[in-house]
Amino acid sequence: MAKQGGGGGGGVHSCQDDATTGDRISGLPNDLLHIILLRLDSTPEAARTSILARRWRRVWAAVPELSFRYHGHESRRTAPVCLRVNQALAACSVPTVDRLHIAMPRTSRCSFYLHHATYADGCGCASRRSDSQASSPFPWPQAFSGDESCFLRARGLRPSTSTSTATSSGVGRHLRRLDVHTNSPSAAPMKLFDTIDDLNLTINIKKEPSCLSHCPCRLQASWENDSITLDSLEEAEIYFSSGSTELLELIALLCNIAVILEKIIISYEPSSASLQAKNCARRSTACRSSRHIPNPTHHTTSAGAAGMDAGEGDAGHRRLPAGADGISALPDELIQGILAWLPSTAAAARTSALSRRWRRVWTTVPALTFHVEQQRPLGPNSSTPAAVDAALHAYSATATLSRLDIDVHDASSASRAAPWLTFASMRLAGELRLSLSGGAAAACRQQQAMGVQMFVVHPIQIISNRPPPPHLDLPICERATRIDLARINCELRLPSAGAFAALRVLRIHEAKLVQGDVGHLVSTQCPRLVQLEMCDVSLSVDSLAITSKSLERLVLRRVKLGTNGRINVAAPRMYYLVLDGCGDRSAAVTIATTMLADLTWNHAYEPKRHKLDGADRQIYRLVATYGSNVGLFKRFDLVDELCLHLSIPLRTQEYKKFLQDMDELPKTNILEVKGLSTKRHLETTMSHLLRKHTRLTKIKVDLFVENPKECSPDCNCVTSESWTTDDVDMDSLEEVEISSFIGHLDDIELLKLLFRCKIKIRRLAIYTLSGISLSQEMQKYIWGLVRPHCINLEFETTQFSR
Amino acid sequence: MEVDKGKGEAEETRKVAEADRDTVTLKSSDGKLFEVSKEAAARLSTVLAGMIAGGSIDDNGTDLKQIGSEALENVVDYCNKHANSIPSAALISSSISFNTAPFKEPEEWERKFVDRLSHDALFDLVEAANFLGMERLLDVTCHKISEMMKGKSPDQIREVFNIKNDYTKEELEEIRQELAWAFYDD
Repeated sequence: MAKQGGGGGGGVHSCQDDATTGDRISGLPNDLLHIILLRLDSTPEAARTSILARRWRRVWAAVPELSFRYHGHESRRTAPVCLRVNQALAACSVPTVDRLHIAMPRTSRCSFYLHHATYADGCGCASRRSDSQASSPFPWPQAFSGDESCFLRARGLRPSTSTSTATSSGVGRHLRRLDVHTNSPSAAPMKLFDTIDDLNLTINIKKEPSCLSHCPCRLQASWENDSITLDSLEEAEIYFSSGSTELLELIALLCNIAVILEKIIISYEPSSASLQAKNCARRSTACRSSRHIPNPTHHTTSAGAAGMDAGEGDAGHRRLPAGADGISALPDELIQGILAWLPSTAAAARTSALSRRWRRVWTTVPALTFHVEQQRPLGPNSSTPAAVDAALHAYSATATLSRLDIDVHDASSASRAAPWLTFASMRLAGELRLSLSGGAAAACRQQQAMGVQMFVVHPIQIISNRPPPPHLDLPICERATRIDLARINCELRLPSAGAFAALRVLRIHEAKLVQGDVGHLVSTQCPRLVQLEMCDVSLSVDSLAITSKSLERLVLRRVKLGTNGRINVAAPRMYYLVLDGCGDRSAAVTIATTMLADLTWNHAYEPKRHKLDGADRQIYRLVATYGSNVGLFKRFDLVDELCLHLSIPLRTQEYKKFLQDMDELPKTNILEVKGLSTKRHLETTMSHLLRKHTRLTKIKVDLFVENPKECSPDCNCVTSESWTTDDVDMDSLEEVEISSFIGHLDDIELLKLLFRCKIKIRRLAIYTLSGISLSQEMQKYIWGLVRPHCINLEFETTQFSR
Repeated sequence: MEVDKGKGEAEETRKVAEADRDTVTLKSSDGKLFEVSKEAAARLSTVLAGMIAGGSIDDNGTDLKQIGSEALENVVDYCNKHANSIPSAALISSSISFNTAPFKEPEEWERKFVDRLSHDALFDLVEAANFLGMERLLDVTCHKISEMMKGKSPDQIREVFNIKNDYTKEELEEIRQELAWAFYDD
């Protein structure tokens, strides 16, 4: 449409005489006129009808759909397109716009601000529409690249809570869903709404910037305006094919303004070189990144709450020329989130070589992970001890360290661990893990060669010309919540003063010698300790005495005590106790807890020397070696689950005693038998057990023979006739599981024994020893055997069912 | 004025269809009766659908006092043609979901149907369609009217529609100032 002439007067009335009929159209009701006008090509064309007559003056302004289409090149003679759109929107009086379409000329002059204003008004207008049925595809400024148009699609606009006018950029504008298709990322679309629930960005970024870096269209102006909040935005989805500064700014902005943002989904092409490991997360947030990204990749990043504080200091860096490595523009927090997920701090620290901007970022990453070794060549994630020293030295003095994980792989490095623990004691507020895996063996050998006594209380007093034995001091870590020490094959010295005030879990696995009083540490220095685990640990003290109000779980496996050592535990809240092979399995033990529910006892039990004070006579689970500790079983009346490690004696007398003692077993619902020493007498043992426990609901038998002992083949220690089960009635039994089944005669005999009882079970499951599978014939044979008593028979691969 | 479909035809239709109740009889403001298939009427007109459902259809001719015989004939004609041409894709709502065109372009037969109408007949039909709540017909006729306006200057539009310019020169100048943004379409 050509530009309209200015003169209004001249031929205006000339047509009137030619009329053969009256003015029908002016007589139509307004809503019909609206339908007609919105069929016109554009809102300007509709607006021109105001010229027609007074009747038409305001008709166009109430048309519920607005459309602005400017194609080709913007004329230099006329007002900028965006200004005109603004004016149109200002003049439009419709309370709610059903549809808003704006297509900008491709070479619209680069005036971002105007565009911005346009969209603000456009969306302002749009946001007041009442129904979410229709939506508004409208374009995005073309200022930054040439060819493809960009679209902002606003979907599901909800009415604003305020009644701001179209021209004000008002408050309370809420958008349920925003789809942005753009090739020039910008925050502007988000800025138009005070709240957005769902944001979907599709960004196709041209590699070559079309604007110079000093061009006024640069987006930075928009970023400096922090007046927008997206406080209901919970999820953002962003797709892009290559990184750019703007995109990352966009992400950064989102993170800054979307206070409850939980998830950003970034999809990108693998070709985007600058996007390795580039999923961002907010503080304490997860971000999974991968250096080898399959095509195309979706990453979900969960993001926590974020304030507005991020990245203030790097505002300058955000002005990197377009095309620069985009990730650099992320705020530190995001990069930390990324770096924390790299496999090692070494990898994270290498990023400081990227550029000046990256120099110090890694030093504030909340998690440090080192794999220490000296042998060459170093793996990509390994560090030398010196490197660890340097890294810890360089670590920011203000950052909060929530995880320190050091895995030492070689011997010569183990001795360097002390300063690292010192660092942890000062800086760590979270989890500490130190493993001197394998490597410390050499240190240990050195120690043994020097003849260090196991139970020296004050090793400092050792006077020697040689260098002091290697040892490791565990310093007080006041803010550590978990300490995990493994394979400490040198002396581990515990502090005698100070408090691990936050410590909840302490685990020491494979410590050659723990120097200091663990009991004292736990009782007085760890007020919040909930779990203590010591496995394969030698204690320097004779006795372990723990008094703790907080302790709930105690695991002691193969803890070596001094001769005449004792274990005394007074922990009123302790419900889980494992005492397994400690102190030669005979040391005196006194446990005082009223909460005991789950007990694993691989230890002697003589009521005089071994006491379970306060424990109920009825507990949930008892795992114990059955043999010499009859007293333990007498201690309990009823156990929900009884797991017996059967060490079946071979001599006739012993075996008779063994069977007699079974009368002392507590009543149970679920019986588990494992840890057999022989299958030889299993049949009679089982029949005896079954006789004693006729109320069982479930039986689990593991036929694996752990420490095979065989009596001579001609052994007649037991006469099988005397142990028939014909008269045993087990009508409550529902399930039987047999594992490590190999189909031997003994195994079949066990089945026969079982099914000679009066039982009717729902399920029999037979698991074979790994590597062994039963033949079809065997399976069918077994099914034939059990079929009268059993509804379902399960093998690992096949099932039989009645 | 070109009315090529005879009234007799409609009356014949009525006689044929009188026996069964598949049709409804509509009475124009000037008392002429028209038969239209009940199904098509209900499908194309929300008002007729409501009347049929509400039982307010008079077997002797439902009075549609607002609609002249010529317009009603066109309406019925449209209904019949619509039923014959595109029975399935018939109901095209003008409230369109996102991303689609504002409304479906008229079919070829619809285009022809409105093209043959006189100026007055067109506007009668628009009003009738509006009254009867016939969205699709409204769309088609409004589209036709907008076609008549498209790309024309205000003067030309006035000419086409016989609109009397009741502005003063000053007012016109003021409006042109106000609407400067609307006059630079390239």
